Amino acid sequence: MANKRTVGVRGVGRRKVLAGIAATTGLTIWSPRLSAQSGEIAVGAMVPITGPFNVSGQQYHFSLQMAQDEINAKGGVAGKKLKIVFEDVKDSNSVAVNAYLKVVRDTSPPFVFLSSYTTQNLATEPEVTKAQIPGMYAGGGDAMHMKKNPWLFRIRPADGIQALALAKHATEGLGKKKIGILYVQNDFGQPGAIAAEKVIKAAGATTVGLEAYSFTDNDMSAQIQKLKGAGADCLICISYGKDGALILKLVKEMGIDLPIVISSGVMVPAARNLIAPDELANVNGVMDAYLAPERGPEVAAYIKSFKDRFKIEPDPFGSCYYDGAWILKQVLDKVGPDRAKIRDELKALKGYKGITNTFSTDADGNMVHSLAVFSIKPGTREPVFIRTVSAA
Amino acid sequence: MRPPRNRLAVAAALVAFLLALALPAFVSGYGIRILNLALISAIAVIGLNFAFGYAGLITLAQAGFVGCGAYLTAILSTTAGLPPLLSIPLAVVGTTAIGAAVGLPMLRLKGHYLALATLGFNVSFVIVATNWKSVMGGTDGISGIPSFAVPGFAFATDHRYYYVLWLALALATGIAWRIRYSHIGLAMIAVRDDEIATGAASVGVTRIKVQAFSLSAAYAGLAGALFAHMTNFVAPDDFALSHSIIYLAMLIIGGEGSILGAIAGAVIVTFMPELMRDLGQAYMIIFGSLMLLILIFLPKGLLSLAAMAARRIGISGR
Amino acid sequence: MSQQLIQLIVSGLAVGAVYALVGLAFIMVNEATGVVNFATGQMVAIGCFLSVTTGIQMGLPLAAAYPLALAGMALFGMVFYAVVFRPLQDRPVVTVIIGTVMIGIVIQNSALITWGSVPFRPRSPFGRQVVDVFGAAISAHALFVIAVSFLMIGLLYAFIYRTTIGARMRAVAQDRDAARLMGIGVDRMFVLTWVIAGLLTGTAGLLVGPMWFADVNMGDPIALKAFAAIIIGGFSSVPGAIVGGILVGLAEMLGAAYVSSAYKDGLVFLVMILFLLVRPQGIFGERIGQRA
Repeated sequence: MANKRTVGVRGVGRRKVLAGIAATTGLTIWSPRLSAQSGEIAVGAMVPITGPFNVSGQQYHFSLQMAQDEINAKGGVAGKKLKIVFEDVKDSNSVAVNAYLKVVRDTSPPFVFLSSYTTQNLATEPEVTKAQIPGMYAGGGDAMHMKKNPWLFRIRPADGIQALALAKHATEGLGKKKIGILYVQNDFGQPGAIAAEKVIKAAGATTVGLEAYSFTDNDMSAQIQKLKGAGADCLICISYGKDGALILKLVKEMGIDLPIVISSGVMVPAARNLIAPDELANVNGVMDAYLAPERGPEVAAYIKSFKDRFKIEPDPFGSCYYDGAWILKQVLDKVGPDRAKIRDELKALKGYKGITNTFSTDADGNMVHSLAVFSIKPGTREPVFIRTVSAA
Repeated sequence: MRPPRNRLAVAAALVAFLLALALPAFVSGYGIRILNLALISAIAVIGLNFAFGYAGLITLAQAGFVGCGAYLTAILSTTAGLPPLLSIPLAVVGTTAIGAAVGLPMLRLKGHYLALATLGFNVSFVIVATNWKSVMGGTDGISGIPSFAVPGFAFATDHRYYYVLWLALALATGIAWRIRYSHIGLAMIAVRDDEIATGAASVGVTRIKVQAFSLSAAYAGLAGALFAHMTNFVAPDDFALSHSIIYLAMLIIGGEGSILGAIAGAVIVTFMPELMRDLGQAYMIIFGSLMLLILIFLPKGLLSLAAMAARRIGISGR
Repeated sequence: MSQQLIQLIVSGLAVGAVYALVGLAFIMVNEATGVVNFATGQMVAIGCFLSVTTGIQMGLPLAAAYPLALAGMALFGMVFYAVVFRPLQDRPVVTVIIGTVMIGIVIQNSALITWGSVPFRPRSPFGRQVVDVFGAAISAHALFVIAVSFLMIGLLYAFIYRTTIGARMRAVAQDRDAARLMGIGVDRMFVLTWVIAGLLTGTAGLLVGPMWFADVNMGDPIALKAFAAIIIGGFSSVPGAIVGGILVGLAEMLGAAYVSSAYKDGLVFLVMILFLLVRPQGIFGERIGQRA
């Protein structure tokens, strides 16, 4: 790192010339926009601001904007103003990597928030290792923490924990014995289904069927029927938002009356609004966090100011970045903008209570180890907290 | 066989290639990554020019072949533990073989039938890569791909790797130039012109088509393999059908049937989204509209603008 | 027949009818104007979202929302004719293919800006009613989809084969220059073809919304299946599009139930490639090479 700084200093004169050219031609590729100023500490944030991924990206973007303003209103970080430099990662791996390289070049940040999508993070991970900059990310895919990259920390429960929570709740919570698993055919659904099957077996219940569908499918009635036909008394669905909503709609249409335990994608407000209350009647769902005013005055204040400012309800996926920003403030206040020290502080973090969860870093860089399980208040789309399921 | 009026274009290209050697000294890590991506795309598009520009085959499978090269070298250099110096040539050979095997039955088809068949190949490639988890890693892809190295020296940074890519592009261009003016290249062009004129097809014609298609796949395989050792990670996302369309767009923007056009198109289309990063969502709308305008008003691509300008000032170019 | 099989067949028919409509839009345009329209899927999405605007955002009753959305699609067809087809009509096939792909990108991203990435759930004229068919619970909307699709196909047939304008359109499709010499307004027929394509894709969009939700990225997966359907049925054959669409729809549902739910899409494309290689003219189509 020391190396890189020397190169930077030596290149200043050249950069000024190039910056002049860039200003006239708009060629920001060649030279940085020098967005960090002396009274500021600039950190990067790789956000799917536009494109199809912005369903979750927007929440992420908003919660970091809010955290930045609140932190600066309370004196900033390490005596300086916090500036979060957002770069759009769209829906593509290479765009995400380019965005990361750009923010590193532009601001040489002490810290970078990574994407909420696992493959984008997997693509960026080699560059993180080269740049040696600590970061936090929200993508749930287990492949990411299995890299054991010492610079990266996950501020959400991993997918593996989610699958475990689904299976635990179906067996221990609901007391079901014959469980059918319906999952999206990719690296979220597939390992999740296998992990859930193991938990079901360990709990003394049986998995009567495992059925997959592809992410672009619009009709899963064949799969639902097969599971019903196999004698399932409960369905576990490992799905995202829209496909999960489709499954719940189909189950109701087909007149199948089974309890359903479903993953977090469908429980966020944007997806829940696609589903009619009676389609949710038999549904239990997990969420990253129990984000409701009842949890305490701080959570209530967060939800209120988020709604006031952005006119939409915050969801737990994006809100974890709000916690991430406050954790970062705590660390920066303590050790300043030193990359290795920030990493060591994050690694040692224990029992930080945030809006979404309690954060304690484990050996793989996972900071969150539990999820909340909900049922739905009859006749509404309102989730009702049942319990917390943790990894241990 | 080379017409003399090409000399100036060749000289200009040579000068540009040599000047490009100095670029890394002036460019940051981010800029060099984009440049590297442009060079890699240029190789894939020069390849596409054989199939589409010369032989007139509409193929929507180029990204699939780039993916074949990338995954082959990724598997060979991680699971099999081969050094990139070995795995890259093997990946190129493997991709060429896949290209020939796919081309042999498909190239009896013409026009939009061929377009749809090759589209089917590209879609199938992504379905297989996404689902064949044990070998191709599923949507998590393959990571831990080693950076390019020769004994005693590792090209681990983008700045160093640039010179590898530069050399690869220079060789790819040189070979393409030789082929273009060899009897194979002339036969490809004859096949295209002949089919338009008479619709005739014979065994010889199919052989030449398969040659053009395999060459196209070979270049794609090289581009993919070089890509994998730069990013150290491959996933199905980078080789989707939309990327095949982008490769075709690069060729058409630059000027189909021209090697320099292929390079120019690849560079322009790689840089465009990064230059217009701040436009966000609007970028894709502008990109699509711009492409449409070029198709309508400059059917021979941007290179025809350069040629026009050259004629104006009294230099003749291709 | 078991209840499950009835449910699967009805769902397969509903899905297949939608593919048939989209496939027909594709074939109509290709036959009459020689354009392979790769933006067909995006036209379906626009049709669906126009019904979101009229039915949800403007809050109109469906009796007004649907005709308004279809009128919008007819207009959209005309704009497509003027902006994409006219400037590109005499260009080589590939230029037109890339041109329609590019306009598809423009449409999809404009839709994303206009309607956002959060999906909508348009309501059905039959609400969420479920009816009993031989003891199986079937959503009324699925039956509505099948009925409307076949009504549209019937109307299209009657229009092409029983009216003078239809005869003119066929003349233009067969030989553009001869039709022009006979005094047929060829350009007007082209406009009409694009309007029909707009109406067919628009209807498909209206119908799928309540079944599959409205999502700005919905177009390509539907169009890919419709491509497979027309290749299996026959690239230039109207009955081929219908049979191909139904076959793909049924294969999707029954394949997921009885073969493999993970590889059912791969199966459809495998069959498509096999058809291309072994019988590229499809089940009903003419032999390749007959067309210039």
